[in-house]
Amino acid sequence: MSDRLVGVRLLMGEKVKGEARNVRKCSFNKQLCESIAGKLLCTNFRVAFVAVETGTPQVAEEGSLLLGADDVALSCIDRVVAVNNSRTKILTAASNLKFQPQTLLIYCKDFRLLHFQFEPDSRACEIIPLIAQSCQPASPRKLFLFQYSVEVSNDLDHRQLNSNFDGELYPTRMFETQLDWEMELARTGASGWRVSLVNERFEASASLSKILVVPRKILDLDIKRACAHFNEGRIPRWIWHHRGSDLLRMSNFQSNTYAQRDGLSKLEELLYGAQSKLVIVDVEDELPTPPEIQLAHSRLKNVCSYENCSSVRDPDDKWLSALEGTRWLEAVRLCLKKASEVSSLLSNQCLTVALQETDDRDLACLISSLVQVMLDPYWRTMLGFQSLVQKEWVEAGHRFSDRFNHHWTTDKDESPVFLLFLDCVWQLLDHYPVSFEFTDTYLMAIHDSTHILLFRTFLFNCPRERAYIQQTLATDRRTRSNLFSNGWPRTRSTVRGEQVVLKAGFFTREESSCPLPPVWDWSLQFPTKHQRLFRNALYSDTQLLAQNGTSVHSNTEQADAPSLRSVHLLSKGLLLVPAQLLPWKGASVAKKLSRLSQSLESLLEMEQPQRIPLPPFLDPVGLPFPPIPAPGLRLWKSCYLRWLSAGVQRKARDGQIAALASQIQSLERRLRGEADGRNAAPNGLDRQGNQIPHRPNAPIPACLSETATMETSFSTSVSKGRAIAADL
Amino acid sequence: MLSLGSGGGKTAKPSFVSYVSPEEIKKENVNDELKPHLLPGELVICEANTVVKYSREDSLQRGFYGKLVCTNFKISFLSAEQLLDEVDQSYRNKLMGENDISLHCVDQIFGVYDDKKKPLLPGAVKNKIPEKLLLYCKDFRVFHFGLTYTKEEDAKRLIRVIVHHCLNPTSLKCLFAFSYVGAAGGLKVGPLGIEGEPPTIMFETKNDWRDELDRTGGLLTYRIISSNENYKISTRLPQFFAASVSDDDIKKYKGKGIPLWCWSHPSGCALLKMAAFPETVDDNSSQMDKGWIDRQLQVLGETHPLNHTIKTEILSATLPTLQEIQASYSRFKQLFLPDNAAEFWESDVKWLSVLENANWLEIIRQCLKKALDIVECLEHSTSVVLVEENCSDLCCLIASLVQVIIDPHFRTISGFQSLIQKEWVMGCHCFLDRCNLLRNNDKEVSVFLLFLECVWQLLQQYPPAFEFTETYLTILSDSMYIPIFSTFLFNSPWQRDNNQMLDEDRRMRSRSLKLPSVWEWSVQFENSVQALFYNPLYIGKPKLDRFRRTQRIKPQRQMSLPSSPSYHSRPSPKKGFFREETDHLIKTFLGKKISRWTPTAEDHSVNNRLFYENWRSKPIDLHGLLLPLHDGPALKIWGQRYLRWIPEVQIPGGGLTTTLNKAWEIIDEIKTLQTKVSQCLLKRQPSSPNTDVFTPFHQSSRLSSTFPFGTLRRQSIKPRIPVSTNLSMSFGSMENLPDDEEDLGLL
Repeated sequence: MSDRLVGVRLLMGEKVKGEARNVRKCSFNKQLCESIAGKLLCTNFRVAFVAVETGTPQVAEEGSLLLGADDVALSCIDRVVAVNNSRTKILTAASNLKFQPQTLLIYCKDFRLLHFQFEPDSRACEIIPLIAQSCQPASPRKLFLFQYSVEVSNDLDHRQLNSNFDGELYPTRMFETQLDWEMELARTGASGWRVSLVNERFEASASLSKILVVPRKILDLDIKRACAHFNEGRIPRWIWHHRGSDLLRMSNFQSNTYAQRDGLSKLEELLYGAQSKLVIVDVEDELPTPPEIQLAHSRLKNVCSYENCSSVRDPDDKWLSALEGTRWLEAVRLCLKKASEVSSLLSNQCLTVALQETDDRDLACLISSLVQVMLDPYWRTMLGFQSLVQKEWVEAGHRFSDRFNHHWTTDKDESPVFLLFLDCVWQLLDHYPVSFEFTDTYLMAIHDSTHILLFRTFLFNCPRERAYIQQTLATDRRTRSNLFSNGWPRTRSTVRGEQVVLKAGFFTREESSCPLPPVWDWSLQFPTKHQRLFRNALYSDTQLLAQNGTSVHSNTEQADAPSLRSVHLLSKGLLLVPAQLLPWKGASVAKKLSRLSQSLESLLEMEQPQRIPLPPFLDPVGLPFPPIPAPGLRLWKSCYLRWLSAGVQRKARDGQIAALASQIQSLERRLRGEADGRNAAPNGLDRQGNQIPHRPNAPIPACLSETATMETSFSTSVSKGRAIAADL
Repeated sequence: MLSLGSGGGKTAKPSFVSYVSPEEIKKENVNDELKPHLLPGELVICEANTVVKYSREDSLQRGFYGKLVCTNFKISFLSAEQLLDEVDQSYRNKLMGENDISLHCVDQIFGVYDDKKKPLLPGAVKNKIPEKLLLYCKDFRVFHFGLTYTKEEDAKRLIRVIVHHCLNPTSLKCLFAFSYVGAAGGLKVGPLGIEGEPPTIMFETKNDWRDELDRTGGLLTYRIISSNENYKISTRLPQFFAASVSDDDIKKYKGKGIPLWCWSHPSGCALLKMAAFPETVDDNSSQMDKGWIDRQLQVLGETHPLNHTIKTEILSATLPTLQEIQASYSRFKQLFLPDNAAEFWESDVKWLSVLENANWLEIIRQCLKKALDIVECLEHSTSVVLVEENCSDLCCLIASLVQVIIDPHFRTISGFQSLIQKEWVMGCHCFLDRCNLLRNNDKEVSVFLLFLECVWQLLQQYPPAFEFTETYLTILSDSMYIPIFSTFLFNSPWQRDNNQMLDEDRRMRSRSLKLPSVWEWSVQFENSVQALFYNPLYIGKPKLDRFRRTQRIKPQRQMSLPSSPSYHSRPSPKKGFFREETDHLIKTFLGKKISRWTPTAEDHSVNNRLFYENWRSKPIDLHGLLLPLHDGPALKIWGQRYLRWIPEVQIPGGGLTTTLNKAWEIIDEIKTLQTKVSQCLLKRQPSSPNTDVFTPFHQSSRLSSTFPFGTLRRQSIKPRIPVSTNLSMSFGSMENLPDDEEDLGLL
């Protein structure tokens, strides 16, 4: 079926499953109840609405390439509700419709609500159960992704062949290879650490990535042994280094195991890492739990939805207290506060900060990545941010699949921890608009991509699951056998049972043959023009340069003095001395006592660096961002309320600066152009087609060229900027 | 800062450390050198030495020694040690230093006795001297002065003087402005507004009004009334104004019940305001009054060339009362006066609901909404007459807001200042009473502030549409409490002229001691600070203003929207229909107090929405109509004004400041490049280094979000994590702190 006939640009491998004509789409956000006639399509990827007037699909200049303005991906559908005059029913895959619905409401995970009205015509309504069934695939293998991926892989292969670099198709560091971690160690200037391949076959820990960074002194054998003492085998491992301090992550101790005395010392080595002072941060302390986050998010969804549209407008309903009642901003605030505490620890002194969480797969991801965004300008660039998500979320085994409930298996685990993280980053971006290379449009693109299941990034629970599925896909592809025949989908459950050890040799094959693209390949989703909106016109990369000089600190001396070791617990904004560091049996009482006295001693020393007053104006590069108090927090309106009211204001300002910047560009181009070819007569248009006023050319003085190197990558018209410059 | 526990206020013993100990001060007697910077006519009333000013940044644990001086204009804290930072220098008010508080800026005074905060009121000053003196200012600064080391008699006297001069009623003649101008010998009146700008129109002469009528195209219908010259008819009217009635009519009712012209819409309809007649017991006279008003409206309708419909809008019926506004504002402002960090973080949890309870944002919302309704009428060629009891409070607010929304001229600095002159100063807004400068009445209502708030909301929704920045608005709001400017000092132009004429030096009348207007910004600020008023993101009108009038003579082409049928189907108001209708409405509203704020009618609200959505669906013309968003999520807190002195909220190196800063940088760059290009074109002249590029900001990293207000925190910006040595006891480092600070002080 050609696109012209369907009215929608179908993706490779996408098939129309059902179609309903004579449907009216209502846009009742304006309370005018305008409706447009058209037809409703259900494919194996999306629900699409095609208006009668617009017969042929157009190539979008901005917006998503995958989905049109009236489309919604099946994976983005939250609820399907059929409404009759008298009855309302939430449809699931299994339920059958017993009445003749007149209205179809589709609630989306991105807070959108689609509203369709049907003519009293029984055939049109048949699409409703179809939609309900399609959006809740009976088994994961029915996901469109896998049809798509097989199709798109040929295309990818093609691209890969054409591109010169081998293996690295995406400049984002995926942290899937040893090289990425080694580069990270070198970049941050951490010493005393090594990259270990102990988990290459996911034998040490099923949920960790293949690559672990551990203290240099510890042998792989000891690491394997240590795994038994931590939940899911998630041992303390190096994540990041900042100004002489290391950031570690680990899960809770398995306290019911028995440790040998020498094993215990190894465990301590593992914990202290390259430093002698250790602060254990319990990230669950004070922070909302994933179920609470889910609750807050669904309340927020409620407040920002159409039904409560009136509450936004109506003076009698209290918008602010409704917002407060969601407790979403409270969650954001607590996360920022915690992250800011941790970052102040990290930036002060040479110590090891270990983030600890029960399973180390939710809030630890959030806090550690927030801390890094706060402290390191590298993560505030686009590539850096993507790498960070790879490092702290994807490779660290955040359970994307469960948390987003992609497979409709159980609601219990659903919790948008990752979206909370994006909101926190947005708050920082809102406060420090010049410190980030990306814009909120970019964050929104990531936000929305979590609901489109075409990319490997947000699809799996852990690297092992991904490796396994990609493996299967690759095999399938190679053999061209019947796709997904009974084989791998069951493994999802086996992967969940952590103890199952898969047969050896399974993971040895190269992963690079994997056909699933990561979300970071933005050109798959957005046209170039839209991608330009991702870049922050205000950003200047001078901060990045400043950082490079300061971050490298060598601190081998402390590492050699184990006698002064101390440990603290960060709890409720206080540093506490724990009664007992390690809960395992075998640690002698005497040792505990001595540790306590030592820590009391070293406590004063610990205070010492804190007392040094910072010079009044430090560059904000290395400074942790202070905790944002409630008056400073704002709702991410351009994301949550975008379906209610258009966020014109911000765009106006940004466009403004982009226009100015583009004027700089055109001026520079002219200067350069005049310097280059003084004989080439300008025809009034520069390379980009912008009109430049005609003037006689003259050579440019050499000393001016330095300003012409300013980096600008902006768009939009020049005329506005000119007007401003003329005014000032 | 994170968990200060019970906070700094509780330290009974002084835990501050100064760089100089009290003993040293006594020995060296350094304070003799400290002389307050006195303005002409300013006199020192009393002073006290060795006062400690605790700094908020250091959690009120430390401070500076210095001298507290009270003059007839301000309370000033002078310290030898306090070094002004560069950033502070860049923003400097010539009249007020960083530690100066104008007497009229003091809002509340508290004394701390044995850790208990008690208000100090005139007449009830205790003999006991408080350990700390807390001054809450109307511009949201909070000063903590420690008096423990001050000589007893000095402290006692100081407190009495401060309380007396800040809280006791006074008379107009005693305001500092008069001694200031008297001593300055007649201030040289500089150019109004900012140099190089089109001048602010003061609307004091006939020509000003004529020009404005001419500009808006209202000259066809309205004429300038000069029968009130020298205030012959009414003291509650300006000398000149525009209306469409005859002189006789004006004389008959002393200016009441006359629709005064405010502004003309390009379509020919106009915005007018009218003072209602006072409620009379006598039925006869009220009947007569009513007939009179009907006749006026009829006249108005007839004189209009296109025979527009006319609508009366009784503001008190649909807007909150002045008392409600003031009550709400006083609740609201308390939110921004936290005593210490602990209190601030405490309020953090319930912030949004507390904010909502203050109801201030709701009041802003209603004002915006009301302005929107009126804009809609005007856009649909319906003239609107705003009616209020004395036509000088909400009338001014709504009228000027409507004009800012419709007319881009009023979004420039000179236009905005002219607007305030036209609607507020000449509209006889009682600044003296409403700001309560004399402290002798309970009429204090921050109506003007509410107006600035509404404009701020618009500004933050459409930044490129305004020539001024929020800094301008903030400074303007602060200037209300500096009792020097004629703009904010009087209840009416009559009072102003009367008082200026009868100045102490009667013989020198010809010299005409004129108080400066607030628009003479050079009285307060250097040019470099005035540059902060300009919005770098503003898109100037491409020099078409000259021709605008000719364009506008064709009505309803640029801005017109599909007019809704209901407006035309309404009967013409010739028989006083509207008056009756609104009367009826008022009765029903007053009957049900709760329903007062609901929209007037169902069909109207739908129309309103239609109008609004229609406008929204088009691309925004920054030089056209600019409808404010007024739903809950769109309203924000004016952070720069309210939160600027709270160190916890400051964003070092962040905030909107950085955006503006970046824009300045880019504009500079463009300028440089442009000069280079033109140099290239001018036959390879040797390039002179471009030195005169003006940047008002310093390095952006040194700025905080509250720039130019609030000092950057001198302490480290990191949150402080206290260390507890005991598991069970999480003590907030109270005992440790003094020692710590001692060390710190010595460093």
